[in-house]
Amino acid sequence: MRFTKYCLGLSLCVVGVLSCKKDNYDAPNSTLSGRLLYGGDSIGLEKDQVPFELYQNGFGKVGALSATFTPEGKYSALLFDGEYRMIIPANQGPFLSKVNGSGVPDSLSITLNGNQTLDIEVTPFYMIRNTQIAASGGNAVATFGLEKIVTDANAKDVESVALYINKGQFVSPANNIALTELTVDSTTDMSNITVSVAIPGITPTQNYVFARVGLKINGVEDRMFSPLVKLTF
Amino acid sequence: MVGADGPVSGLEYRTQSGFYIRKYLDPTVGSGRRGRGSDIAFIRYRYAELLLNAAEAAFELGQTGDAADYMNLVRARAGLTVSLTAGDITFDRIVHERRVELAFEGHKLFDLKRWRIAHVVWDGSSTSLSDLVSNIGAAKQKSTQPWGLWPYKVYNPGDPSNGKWVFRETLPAGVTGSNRFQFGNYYSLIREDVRAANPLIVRQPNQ
Repeated sequence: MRFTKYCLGLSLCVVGVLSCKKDNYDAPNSTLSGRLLYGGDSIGLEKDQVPFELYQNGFGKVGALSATFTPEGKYSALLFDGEYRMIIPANQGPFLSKVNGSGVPDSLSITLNGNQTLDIEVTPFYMIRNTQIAASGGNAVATFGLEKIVTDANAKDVESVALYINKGQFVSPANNIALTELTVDSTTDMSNITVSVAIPGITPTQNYVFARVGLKINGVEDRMFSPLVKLTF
Repeated sequence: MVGADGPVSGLEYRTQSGFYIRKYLDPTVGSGRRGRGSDIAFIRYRYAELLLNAAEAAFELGQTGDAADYMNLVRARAGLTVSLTAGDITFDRIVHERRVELAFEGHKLFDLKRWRIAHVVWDGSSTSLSDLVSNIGAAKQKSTQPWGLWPYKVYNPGDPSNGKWVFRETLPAGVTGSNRFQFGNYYSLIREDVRAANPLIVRQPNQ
């Protein structure tokens, strides 16, 4: 027992002697944050599905600091001051990938010195416009229009739209209590779409749900969403 | 009333789906214990799989007659007496035959990847009862959650249903998530340290 205590005391002394200022960094305290925007309008996404990556050179092997955008299309990262490069990996998100000829994503150079806000402009394939979601008679009813943004050779068709509702604020195909999906084809009037979903019974009872409209684009994995709406009924 | 290992939702040592697997189980006592309890190797390659591979290849080349012949060999071994003809061979039939013949042998993931329908079958949304009972036999039927079929025998003397079986479709209470297969999952991940060690190695598509 005494020997053990002695050993413990000795090892603490050794640790104390060997530690020096070089090992003891301050925690990172500069926040890089921002939003995904198209012409000033935010873009809604699914939680934890669309990633972005930050790279920093000069510290040995280069690896990504990966994180994902929030459902509101925001991002934030707590970093040390320094030079970073930011990318959104190719074919992620419901917007046109900024890639060069060989498919490598275009990077954004960032010099971080203190907190910084940096909004990222992207070109979505479509925008969900004039979304109005209201609760009436046990249903949630959404009316909205779709605006086609990309019309050149990269244009894609809409596969379907859906209205999702959930008990909490994360509303997506994976997290919902009810949804109605509507297939969209060439005969659909894109400027005025109405989707309705019945609000099921909720246990424990709550008199509100969260709702938003999701848009599935043909051949694009990540859905795009309208802003979240809290419906009280 | 259920037996000691009958279906009770959420209880351990009991079937949650209403089924048990017998395929390839070594009946020797102790074969399922830790360590090398069984001396019987897992059967990785089978003649039936070769026949189904040949049937699929023939079908994709448009030789549906040959495909039917190959598939009839497999079906006859399993005891199915109705032979398929060239007109019966569709893509859905090929998919179905591989599912039933090679069930529990670890083929499903690789088959769905090869046919590139995994992102349709496992689309991440929950599987409702109507999803379960519609599109039966279709290759792209949604199958994101494991449903069970609980069997009960009716005991009600004097009633016409006495002694008959009822089967109830059940989603076990333990099933809360649903399978989601993303485009990036079609390719194996090349890890970050590998890509950092050699910048000429690029990441796989859609990852």
